[in-house]
Amino acid sequence: MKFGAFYLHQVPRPWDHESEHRYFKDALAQVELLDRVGFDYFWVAEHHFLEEYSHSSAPEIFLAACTQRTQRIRLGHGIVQMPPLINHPARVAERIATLDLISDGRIEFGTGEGACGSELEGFHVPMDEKHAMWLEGLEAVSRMLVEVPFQGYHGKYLDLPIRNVVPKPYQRPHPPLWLACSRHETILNAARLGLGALCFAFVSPEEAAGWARDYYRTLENECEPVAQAINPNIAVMYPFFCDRDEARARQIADENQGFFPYGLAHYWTATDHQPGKTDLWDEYRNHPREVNLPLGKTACIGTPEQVRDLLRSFEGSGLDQIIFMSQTGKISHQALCSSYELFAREVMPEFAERERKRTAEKQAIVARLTEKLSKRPRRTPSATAA
Amino acid sequence: MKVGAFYEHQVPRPWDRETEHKLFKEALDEIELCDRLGFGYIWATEHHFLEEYAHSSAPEVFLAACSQRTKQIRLAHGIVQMAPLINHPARVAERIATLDLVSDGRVEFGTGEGATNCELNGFHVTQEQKREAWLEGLTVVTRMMVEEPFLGFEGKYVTAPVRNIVPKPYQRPHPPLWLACSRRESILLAARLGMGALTFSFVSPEEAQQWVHDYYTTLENECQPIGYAINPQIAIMCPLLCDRNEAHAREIATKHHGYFMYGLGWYAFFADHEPGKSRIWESYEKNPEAFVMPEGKIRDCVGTPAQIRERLRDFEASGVDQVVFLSQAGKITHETLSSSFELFGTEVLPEFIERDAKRMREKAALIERLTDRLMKRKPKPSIPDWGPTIIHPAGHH
Repeated sequence: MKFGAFYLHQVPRPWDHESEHRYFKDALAQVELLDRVGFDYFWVAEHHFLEEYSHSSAPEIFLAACTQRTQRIRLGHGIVQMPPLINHPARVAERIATLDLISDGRIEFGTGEGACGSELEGFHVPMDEKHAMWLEGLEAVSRMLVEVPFQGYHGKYLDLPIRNVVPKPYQRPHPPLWLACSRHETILNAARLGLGALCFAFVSPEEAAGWARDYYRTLENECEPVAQAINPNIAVMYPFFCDRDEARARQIADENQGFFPYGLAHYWTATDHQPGKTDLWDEYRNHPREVNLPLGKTACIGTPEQVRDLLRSFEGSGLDQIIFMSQTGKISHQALCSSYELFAREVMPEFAERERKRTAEKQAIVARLTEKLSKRPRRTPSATAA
Repeated sequence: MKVGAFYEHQVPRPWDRETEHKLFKEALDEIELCDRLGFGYIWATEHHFLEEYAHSSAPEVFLAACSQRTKQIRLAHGIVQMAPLINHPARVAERIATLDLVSDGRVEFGTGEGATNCELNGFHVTQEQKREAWLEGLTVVTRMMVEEPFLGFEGKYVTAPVRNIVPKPYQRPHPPLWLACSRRESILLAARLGMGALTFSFVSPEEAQQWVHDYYTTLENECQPIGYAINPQIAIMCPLLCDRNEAHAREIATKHHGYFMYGLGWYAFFADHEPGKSRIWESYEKNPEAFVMPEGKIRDCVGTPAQIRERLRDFEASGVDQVVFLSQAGKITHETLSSSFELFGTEVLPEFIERDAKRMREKAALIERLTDRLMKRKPKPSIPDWGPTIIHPAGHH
């Protein structure tokens, strides 16, 4: 089982001239630390206009900076919003390729269709078409990363001529592709298309084992790859904070972690947002509304022993990666760094050891699946070449 | 007077598995060197689909990497293609701001309308529309970086609702604005808009002096700033290759900077490009004299330190604020580029850095003198009358 960290770049109000600057500088230092202590993946979101909840509106910039501050850690888009009205496929392909070159091939290409109305409407993406737009964007980008020249694309949302998109990525045929998932159904979609499942839900070890089993079975039996390579992987995210003092761990988590579902509920489901005016952190701390999200209750919060016990119950579930969400609310730079270091020193080593054995098995699975799927007829794309 | 280094990431064929990887990694090393030597700026261009000529299709990514490899050098977009069909203004504002934050406020926001059919048509932007599209994109991006929240825009090329674009840049009100210029007309436009003029032309010091005069006169008398701060600067381009052996420098420049011109001509003037099939370097080697730049012979910075020193002193005297060096081109090796930068940086650059301190003070005084008067002439933004904006969530996941 591998370990990753997920960042939204939460920057609660109030803001002064240094708030965002200080935040980003600290965040880069945290990623450098994550790499140094042996985390396997770093994932960063893409959100637009979601003040306080996520200032990660240009993850390509942040990841590019990360490439020069790290040596080994995989750098993942969690995710790129693929509707072409938000990100033109050529621009996506170019950024992914350039990131991959300057990182010596460490990019993970997570994709998604977007969820929040505020963002989608900001770019005139209709809610009932975002899925179809995601698919066209994904098909176009994956071909642009590979074809010399790109053979064009004529779909409902994209009309692209023949061009060679340069540069090409370092990883061939292209970096591993992922799909953002939050429910069981979308995980199966990921499997059917040969994409890694990047799960934003805090499900129990039992449920996670069920998801992993269904994912791999669907991949084996129903996959028609959307791109040139499959990425058989399932990763699930959990809130995380580790401290020797259990009470302190709970307190820091309680104060800050709750801002994640609170912001999620505000922007996705519950409340009216006034751009530039709503003070979300103030509301959360002083007069919060009730939040009821279908997220799951499992969290990796506590002492090293407690975290270790929970994680052991995930091993053998078939999950490939556990992703930790820690940077939330106003959690301090020092608290984050201590938590990561403590975990890496006292909990991670035993998992890393067992992961080395699993890696060899995993490689065999990937090879077998790739072989099996190559014998199947190619999937019919949703649009044609020029 | 400052100096900058200009990068297109030119990658002639043939390509192997490592070609682009090596080029980008070496470029980062070169820029780290330039920063250490005291170069003022690194300019990264934006081009799409121009195989073998410019593989700098995601300069935002490259500049962000540069931010972590450097300490003082300015990180300059030369330029961002502003047509909304190529780069949505919200995405531009977000990237500029984020880059500015991770670089501690070192971004220079160069903008342009795009030039070649190969690129523009790839995004369904026409030659007739590109100027208007650039203007709309630029107007919206500057407002997005400053307004809290952005109060919306309804235009021909983009319509954007009320939203607070986050993050905001480190430099306030926003990073310095530049316009890509190629001739007198666009230089005067830059002056009228209060933007720096990034001139993609190889001119003599005498011509430069005239342009400098016209630019600053126009700025004083006609400027109605498009941004929220003025950026009175004029930069010109010049090839650089520094070597103790003049003949050696000249030989390399003739071959590889010659290829730069050929590639430019290929996409902009004379070739019927076949994506994935055309072989530009091969074509050039067969016929290196085929294309000659309209300007004719260039007064360049190719030669010994002494020769370059003389040429640069002439440019300094002409009043240009910056000479932007074209060095990486064709198949020039990393070793050649590094030696050239090193020799130039140690033997020629120091006196210019020293004298630039005075220029900086003069510039600051100019900006202070002009800003109040010129900002009063800024046209009022066109804010749609949509009533109060409250965003109701979709209730949808």
